Amino acid sequence: MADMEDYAYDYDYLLKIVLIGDSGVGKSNLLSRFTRNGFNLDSKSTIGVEFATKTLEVDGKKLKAQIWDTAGQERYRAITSAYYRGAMGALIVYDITKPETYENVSKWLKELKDHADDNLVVELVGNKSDLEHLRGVPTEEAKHFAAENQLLFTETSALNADNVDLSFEQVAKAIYNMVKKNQLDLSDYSGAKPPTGQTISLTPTPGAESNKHKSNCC
Amino acid sequence: MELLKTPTVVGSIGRHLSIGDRLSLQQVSEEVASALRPSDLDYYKARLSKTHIIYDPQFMDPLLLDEFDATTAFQVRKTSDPTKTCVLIHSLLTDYIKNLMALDLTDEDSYGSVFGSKMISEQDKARILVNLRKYADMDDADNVVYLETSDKVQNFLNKFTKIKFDEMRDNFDNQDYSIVALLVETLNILDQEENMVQFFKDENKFPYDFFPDTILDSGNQLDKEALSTVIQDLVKYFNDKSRVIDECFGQQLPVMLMYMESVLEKEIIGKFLSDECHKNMEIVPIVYYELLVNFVSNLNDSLNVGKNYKVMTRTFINLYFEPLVAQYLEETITLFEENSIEEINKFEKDYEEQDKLEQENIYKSILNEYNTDENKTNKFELLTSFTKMFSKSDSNAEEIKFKTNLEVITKNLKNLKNYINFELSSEIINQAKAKVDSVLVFESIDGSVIDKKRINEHIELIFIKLIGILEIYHVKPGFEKAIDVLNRYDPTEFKSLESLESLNTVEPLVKFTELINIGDLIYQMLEIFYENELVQKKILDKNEFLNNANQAKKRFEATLDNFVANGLNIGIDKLMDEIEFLFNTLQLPNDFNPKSEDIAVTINGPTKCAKTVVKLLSNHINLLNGSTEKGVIDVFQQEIGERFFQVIVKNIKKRQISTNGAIILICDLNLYYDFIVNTLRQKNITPYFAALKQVGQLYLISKDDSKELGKLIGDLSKFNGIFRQEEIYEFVTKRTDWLKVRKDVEKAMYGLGITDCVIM
Repeated sequence: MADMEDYAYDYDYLLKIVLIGDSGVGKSNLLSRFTRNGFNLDSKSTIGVEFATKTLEVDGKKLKAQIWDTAGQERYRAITSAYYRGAMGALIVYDITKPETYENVSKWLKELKDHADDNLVVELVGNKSDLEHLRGVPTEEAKHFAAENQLLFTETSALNADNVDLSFEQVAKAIYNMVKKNQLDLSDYSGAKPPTGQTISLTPTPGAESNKHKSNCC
Repeated sequence: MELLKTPTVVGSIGRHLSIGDRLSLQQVSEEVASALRPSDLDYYKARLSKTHIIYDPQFMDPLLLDEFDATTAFQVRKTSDPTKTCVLIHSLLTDYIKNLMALDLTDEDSYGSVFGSKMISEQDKARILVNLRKYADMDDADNVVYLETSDKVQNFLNKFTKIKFDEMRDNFDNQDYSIVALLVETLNILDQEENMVQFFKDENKFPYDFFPDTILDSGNQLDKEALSTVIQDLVKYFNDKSRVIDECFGQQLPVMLMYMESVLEKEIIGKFLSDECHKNMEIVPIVYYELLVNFVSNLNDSLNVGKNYKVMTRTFINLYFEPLVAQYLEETITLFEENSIEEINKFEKDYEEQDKLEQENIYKSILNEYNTDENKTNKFELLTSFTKMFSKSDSNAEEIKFKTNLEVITKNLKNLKNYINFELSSEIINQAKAKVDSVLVFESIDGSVIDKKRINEHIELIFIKLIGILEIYHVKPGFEKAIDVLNRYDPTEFKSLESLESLNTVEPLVKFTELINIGDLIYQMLEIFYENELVQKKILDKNEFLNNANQAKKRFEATLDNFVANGLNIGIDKLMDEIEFLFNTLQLPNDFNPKSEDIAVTINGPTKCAKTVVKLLSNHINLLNGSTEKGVIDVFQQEIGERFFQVIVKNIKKRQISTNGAIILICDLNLYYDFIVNTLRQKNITPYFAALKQVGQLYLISKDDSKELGKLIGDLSKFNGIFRQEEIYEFVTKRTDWLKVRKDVEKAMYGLGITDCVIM
């Protein structure tokens, strides 16, 4: 039981990130590639919500990412709200071989707008880049869309791990930079916060994103 | 002499005269001769009838007895003229009779004088003697002459015969078999067949030291080499005798078969082999085989017997060996049963002793630990001093009692799988196999004394006995004991918190499945036995339902299945008891309701309790794999899945769950779901665990969304129809903010909250 006492101090910041997007675009596999370096060819569709964590180091600080992997569809607004409550980052995932999943990105953006914090860092992730020969969504088009909507953007392959770590890392860094910019002291969040699950609130500044990986941003 | 002038008087006298005297009287005068003539036919007819020569007036015998001599005098069978025939026979033999009557029987050297001065063979002498006796028998009109003559002839014949036997003995002893052969011819003429056979038997008494002391080894088992030597010796013995018999008797007299039968009956089978078989009936088949196959086939051809020699010898062997075979068939199964039960009893006795010893050691070591003063306690006083300790109202008494019980239960559990022993069962099965092989020996023998039908019945009987013995004396009591131990096991009795941490298995269930494994192995061995020994050898038809062996096998299978089912039911009960116990002890009150400073906990995955529970389950779900059929495994695993689901539901209902704690609960429920999907892999069970995931979401919802929470309760499809509305409602009442959301939830559910009703 010793570990239970230790882990309250094994990171500097806790970031909640949600994974959203249509069913079957590969959210769960992105997550398992990122957190466990695993991939399941015949993974079943997620029921409810699943959690995974991974600690990243940015500027010598330990950022613990708590990632919520959600089922593609959820009828109940109350449940969706619970998913987004306190989230500081979101990855909207689509399947580059299925244009309809890309078209639904707007729907997911709207859902974020309805439920999530306005300052949320959002990344558009085109998954299954290993299936280039089946591509249905041009990179440039998605990149353009991301820029228009002030989203981070990357194309990934959970199957061969291309850009997977990068996609999560750039979201985490964006959140961190935003927090730093806003001079928020996150280290005492674990003190006397009410148990709402809302770990940090922050206000992003326009420069926050441009500061980082230019290659992946617009 | 005046009397002779009266013809009637002459006729009367003539009727009572010997042949010689009547012929002499006839010579006295023509008158006398004619006085005798009328009675000639009757007189001579009467004589000839004594030697079975038939009077036939129509019989034409032109040569009459012209070609006959003393050796052939009685070869005539019919005559048309008895007077002439009888007179001729008389004339051929009368000189020999005269010589014989004059002979002094005490003077053997003068015996030759009977046969005159002519050189004559011994066989012809015998023939003449036989004819003399016939003549003496025929010449019986004068009683005085008849008695005197026949007596003398018979005495001489006896003397002569004895001399020939003496000569035969001498020549036999000198191995002058060609001379013996001549004497056999002579004695044959003298009608000495039976005496000659007896003579041969007497001269060839079976050696009293022919056989070894035994053909069994020190362990009372057959010494095959010794048996083989005996058979070889017998072959040599009879081939020697057969050669001698052929030389002496040729085909004159059937000696060999009589000799063979006599020795087989009285010496070989009746005495030696019978004695050996009675020391160990199990050797019967192989002894019989050796005798019928290796003995008979190595016999040389016998001129004396001819081509039926081997067939007849086999018939004799079967005749005299049959009672032994019958006894063997009867006793071998009884013996098998007795030996097997004895072995099982011995196994159990050893086991009990070992068990007692272990128990004593437990007592002893605990005694030593607590009662160093009484270290001298010996084994026999152990229990008494142990009981004393409890009565002492020692403060340690409870602890001692606890420790002892714990150790004894641990020992019992450890030993559970030993209640049925594979090696023992396998040994008994092998013995049955040996029995089958033994009885099959009879089948492999040409002209065997028992037929295929009887062999089949016997093998079937062995199989039925085998199953019965294993079932009634070993498997059944073993499982009964094991189930008893399983039943009495209380997983919560001896648990400490430390032991929970390392809890990996529910020992009784593990041990019981080991027992199932052993039971299954035994069944598989029986199945192989059945296939190889009964089905493939066409002893019985698999599909014959009413066949006793098939039924016995089915019954054994059913018994085993019943025990497996009963044991597994109890085992699953114990496993669930254990899991419930884990939930009650390891699941902490704040696991799903962390204090605010514990918020970090929310990201550390499933609770220790959930992980321990899943680990415990994982260690048990595959226990049956490979030991029983897929159907039983599925039932077992589905039962575990369903029961586990119920325990989880019960656990959730005992908890207080906050929106933060919901994340931890969901982590636990996700773990359970993954376990069901990836490890248990029983698809029927999956919907239950998917529904539980949805239940987890009930706690994630913010209290601000209480109205939608109420709507959710009514949406049974959200929970796969697994839960009733009341049950979902009950789940929601476990929210830490229940009092705050209750009103809205109930309003959404029923249109009105219960509190509203109270107010009104």
